Amino acid sequence: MKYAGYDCVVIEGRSESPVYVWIDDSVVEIRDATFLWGKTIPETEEIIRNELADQNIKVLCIGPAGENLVHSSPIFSGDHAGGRAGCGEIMGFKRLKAVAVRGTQGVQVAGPDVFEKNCDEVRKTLDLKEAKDPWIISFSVFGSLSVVRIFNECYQLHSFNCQRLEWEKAENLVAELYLKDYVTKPEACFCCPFPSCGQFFRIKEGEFAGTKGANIRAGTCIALGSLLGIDNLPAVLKMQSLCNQLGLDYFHVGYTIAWAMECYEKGILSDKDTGGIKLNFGDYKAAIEVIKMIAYRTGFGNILAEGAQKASRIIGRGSEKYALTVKGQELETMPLRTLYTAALGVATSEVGPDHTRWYPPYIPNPALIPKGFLRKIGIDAANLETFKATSTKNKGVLLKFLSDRAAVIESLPGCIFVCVRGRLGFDFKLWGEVLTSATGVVFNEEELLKSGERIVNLERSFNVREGFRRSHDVLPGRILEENVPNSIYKAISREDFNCMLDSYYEARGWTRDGVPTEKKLKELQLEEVINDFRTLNILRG
Amino acid sequence: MRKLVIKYCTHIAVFTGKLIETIETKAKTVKELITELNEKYPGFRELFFINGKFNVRTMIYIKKKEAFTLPVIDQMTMLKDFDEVIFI
Repeated sequence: MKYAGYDCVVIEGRSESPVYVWIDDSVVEIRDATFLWGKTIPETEEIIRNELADQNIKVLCIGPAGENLVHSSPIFSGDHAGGRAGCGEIMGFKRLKAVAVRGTQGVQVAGPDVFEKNCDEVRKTLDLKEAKDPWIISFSVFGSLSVVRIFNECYQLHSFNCQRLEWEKAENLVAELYLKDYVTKPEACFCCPFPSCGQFFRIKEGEFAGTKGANIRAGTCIALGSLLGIDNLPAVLKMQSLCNQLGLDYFHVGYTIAWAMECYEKGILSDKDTGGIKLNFGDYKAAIEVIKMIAYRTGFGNILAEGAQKASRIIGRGSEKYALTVKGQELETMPLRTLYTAALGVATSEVGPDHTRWYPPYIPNPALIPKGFLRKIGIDAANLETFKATSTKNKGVLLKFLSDRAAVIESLPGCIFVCVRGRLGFDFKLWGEVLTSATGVVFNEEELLKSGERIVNLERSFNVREGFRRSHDVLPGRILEENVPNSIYKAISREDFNCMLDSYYEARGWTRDGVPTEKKLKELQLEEVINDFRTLNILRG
Repeated sequence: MRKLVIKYCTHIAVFTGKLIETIETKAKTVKELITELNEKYPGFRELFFINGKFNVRTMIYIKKKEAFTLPVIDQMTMLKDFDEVIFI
């Protein structure tokens, strides 16, 4: 899209019948898509490319799930999804099946030579031989799937709807086996220096022979594997392949089915509710059947298509307790009871659980942070409590930095999985130089981090305007009340959680109710928000 | 002698050719363990040190009974019987 000359496209209104948008550099056309309605993601892409007689056209589209307004369904491009929060559902509502783009113009940067030099600096940091970050090698070669094993070792693996955080059979779902038995070739995103963070896979034999796809992540093997008590890797690959074809968010699918399985095993749901499907943990055949039912909203799938929170409210009978959601969105795979920055990050994220807003899922190693940087962001480097995963100390100020940083990196835009590695996560001087040489507008280190803070405050202000307050920055009861079984890890007490929430709001300059103050909004030059808040009588100081 | 469970993850599993092994060792510290494993898997030590600096390329975790699983920050960290050492 950038190559066609667009930074973003706004699509207003709703069509009477299915359409797709065709952007051919400066020519934009809205075309009939009646013949595409009901098609899967790969079918849609193939038909559009054939119709436009160009196999290099990029296509963003929705599958049957988005068409059927299934909760949280994303927009897809091949096996990549613009995940979560239901953007695909909105496209479905607009009856917009796809946006197809051909861009031939390239991108002009302000200072090509300096830009190339700066990019070389970035690449050098990520060089496998020179890597000074423990995660560069493993992520480059194994992708995020590499964390499944370590999550399991550290009591961080969501299993059986988070009733357990370790599972001996998770050894069957790890990156090392996936790479050995199923990967056909590596896949890297456009221009990414990580050579094989994603991989193409094909199942050669057995029950799921012929299944193929790409980009199996830790989220796949946790949300569709351990969370459901399923350790059959080919079945998990089949489930992700189905989600990617039908246009489903696998976190929604995993947590909603896990909720249903726990309710079924506890006797809250019966065969009468499920239409005779026996939803026991570990039953991958049932899970596969239910995934299809969710996408097409058939039978019990029609309730599950609403997501775990709404489904639990429809069913009632105490099932709400087992729906693991924040702000209506299902959890992801991040450790909460064993990593307090993650718990706080998930609770305060404006779009519900989204690890890209505060990544990474471990405490930064102070040995890898440049001297003086911590002091600059208000952290006492000598206070080692800050760097303990389950200490409440300084987690507010730490999360503020992590989320401001993520806002900057995601807006550059850079991939959060790559751009927090080594010095890249702390050297905003370098990022400033990259941005300056690309745009010609001078950005220094401080201004960049301030931009991140502005983004986070603007997003918060949007939610505040819509009625969100402290009471929405919460975690599911299971995280705050149930200790981690078979380990010394405990639930995060409500007292500790509230203490961290206070410290986060304080670090942000927000009120105790989580509302940005006039002073903070002025500092960030968000006068329009101040005016909005005054009109709505939200500002109190 | 102490009995340790050693787990090798990602590229280290590729390097050693195995995911897990139980060993009997005289090593009292993480540093000694790495030295011992370097004899078994030549080059192993290089995965953990750059110019003498420890643990900037690879992570080591120790899982002890009745304790939190924690990353190793100090190479002189003591090892006990039945500890699980995880190389990532």
